[in-house]
Amino acid sequence: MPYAFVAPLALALLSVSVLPLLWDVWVSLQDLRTTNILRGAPFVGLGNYVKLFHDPLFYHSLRVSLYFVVGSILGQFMLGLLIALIFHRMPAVARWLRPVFILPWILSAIIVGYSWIWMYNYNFGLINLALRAVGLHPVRWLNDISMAIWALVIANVWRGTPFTMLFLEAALKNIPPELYEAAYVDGASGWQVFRHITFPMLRPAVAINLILVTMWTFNLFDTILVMTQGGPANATLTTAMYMYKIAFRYGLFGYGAAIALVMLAINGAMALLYVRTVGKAAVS
Amino acid sequence: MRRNGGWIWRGVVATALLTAFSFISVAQKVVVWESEGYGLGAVKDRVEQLTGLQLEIRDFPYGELRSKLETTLLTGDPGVAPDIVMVDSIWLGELVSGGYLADLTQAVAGVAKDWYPAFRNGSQWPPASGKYYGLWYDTDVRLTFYWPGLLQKAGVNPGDLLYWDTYITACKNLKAALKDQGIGGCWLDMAGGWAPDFEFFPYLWQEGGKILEKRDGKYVPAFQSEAGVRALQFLVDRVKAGIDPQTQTFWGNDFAQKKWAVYPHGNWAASESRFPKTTARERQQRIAALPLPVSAPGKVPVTLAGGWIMSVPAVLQSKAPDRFDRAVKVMQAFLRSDVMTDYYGALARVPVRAGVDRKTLSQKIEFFDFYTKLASVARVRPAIPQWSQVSDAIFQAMGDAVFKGVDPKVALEKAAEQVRQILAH
Repeated sequence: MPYAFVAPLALALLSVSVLPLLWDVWVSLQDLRTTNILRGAPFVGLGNYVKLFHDPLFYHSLRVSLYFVVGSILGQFMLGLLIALIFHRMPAVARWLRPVFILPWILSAIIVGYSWIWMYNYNFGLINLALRAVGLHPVRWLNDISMAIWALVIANVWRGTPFTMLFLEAALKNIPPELYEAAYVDGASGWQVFRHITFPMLRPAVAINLILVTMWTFNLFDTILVMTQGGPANATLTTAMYMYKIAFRYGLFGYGAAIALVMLAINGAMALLYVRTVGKAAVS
Repeated sequence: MRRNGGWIWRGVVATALLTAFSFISVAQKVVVWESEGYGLGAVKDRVEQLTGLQLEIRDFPYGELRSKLETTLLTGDPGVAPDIVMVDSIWLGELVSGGYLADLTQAVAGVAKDWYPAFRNGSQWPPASGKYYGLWYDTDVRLTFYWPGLLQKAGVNPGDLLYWDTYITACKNLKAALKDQGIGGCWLDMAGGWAPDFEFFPYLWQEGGKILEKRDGKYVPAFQSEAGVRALQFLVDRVKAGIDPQTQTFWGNDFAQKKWAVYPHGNWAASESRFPKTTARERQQRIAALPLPVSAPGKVPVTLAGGWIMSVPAVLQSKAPDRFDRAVKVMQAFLRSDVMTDYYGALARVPVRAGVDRKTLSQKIEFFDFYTKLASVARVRPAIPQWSQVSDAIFQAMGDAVFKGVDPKVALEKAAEQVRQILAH
């Protein structure tokens, strides 16, 4: 009887997540393209995966993704934690500033991308105008192969920080105040309180936040599509962007599905880490 | 009795109204899918008048049109397919090879005789095979626009923009003279997959090169030839001379706002859409146009022409022949010389055929004679199914040469190897 109650939900989940996943696996085993989809694509077995693991651009895209994810997470986490701590300490300030700080998170990625394009413009952008105004040289933010990925990281940190801030602020509110009172009575300094009470108590939330943000950042593609399309000279070609290009620009659905499944495996590893970390935190 | 008579009259009126409405509903609908701003919308009333059919025009953003079209046609269901589709000329090979477009040879081969050769051949797949899958109806050309006042202020002679070496010097002088006013010298497009259309293919053709060539019936890369190396070297020389490659484009809106003195781009950069509320004459008085620069006097300033092909989904031909016939009727009405003249005039587009009313159009379209002269000798990209991959490989070579300092010959050879592998599959 209990299975009958669960069945509708299980069926819904099966149809929207498991079936598409199985379909994706099936597509990745064929040389499916826009040009053969109506006639039937040839079955190539693991051919797309073999091709993928010999594709230098795929490895390049993984490297770019690594820079993008690590840069974004470091920036987003540090800033988010700092703002969350300030807001936790100063609720009056938080009440006024929180809506302003949340604004980037509620904007669509496309709008964020276009806004930053204008701000980064070498000739007319706000950032270079400011640099020129203080006598500094303008920067080729998106036109320089060594700078472009960091320009994207800055834009992504700007957009993602509010999420980390809200997440950690909520977690901070769950720390029992008695712990702080006891620590201060015992003469602990601010840094000691942070190191021995705040951060350990935040650890489960930090783990969840880091893993969620890692997965989102690894999958992010719309902001990159708008801002650089993977350029200049593939300097910002992340794996998500590469998959989009292969599947939807080149019409190579089989190969694109193989990349998507490898991305899924990477995300799966992240999810496993998430489950384990949360499990350990819960046990401790 | 009077009461009964009233009812009879009411019945007669109701029947007449119903009959009239049923006649109105008989006017059948033809659904057209087009990219925003490129299609039948401008002459909808005229085509409806000529065909007695009702047109329902749906505009899609450029990037969305192709995927929407493919996913819809994949269903093989005429119920969800449009009657007429406008396809970018570079999608033709992919869509025909996929079996998405109908063979329209019988419907359009006759009228296509009036088309300039590049557009006539480009409407066929394989090119110049005699099999038409639509007809190219709209094109654009690449050329150099400039603000004469800014050149004068910088002491630059417009004639210097005609040759590669003097072009580079002129750009350097413009950059130095206009820097303090926040105005760029010469635009250089490295903004995306279309950059080769602006910065490589025209110069490759001018130097006598080809993008691809056919050997033993198969396409092989040819862009890595000496002509290709010279064309890419011109790009590298410009960047080395201080012309900044731009990785974001505003499609001419920045030129219209005088952010650039010299703007090699598509003819849309001088259109009313970029200079609102101006006439063609006013625009011609404000800005000037020249052909793209060539390496030496006597070389033909060959340009690249893009554009749109009007076609019909194959699924109609096989599963909904009545709708197919109506779609062909609409196409043939649109392809009338007088209707196309109206279309070009309304949207200030460049004609793909000789038989249009030039006098009328020259009053409505800026630089009309110049555009048509360029269009008549323009070249088009090979619309093979793998075109987007080939174009990206060439763009990658441009990026390697410009941003990573790779020797143009080495960069092109690497791209050619990549293209060989792409074409082998």
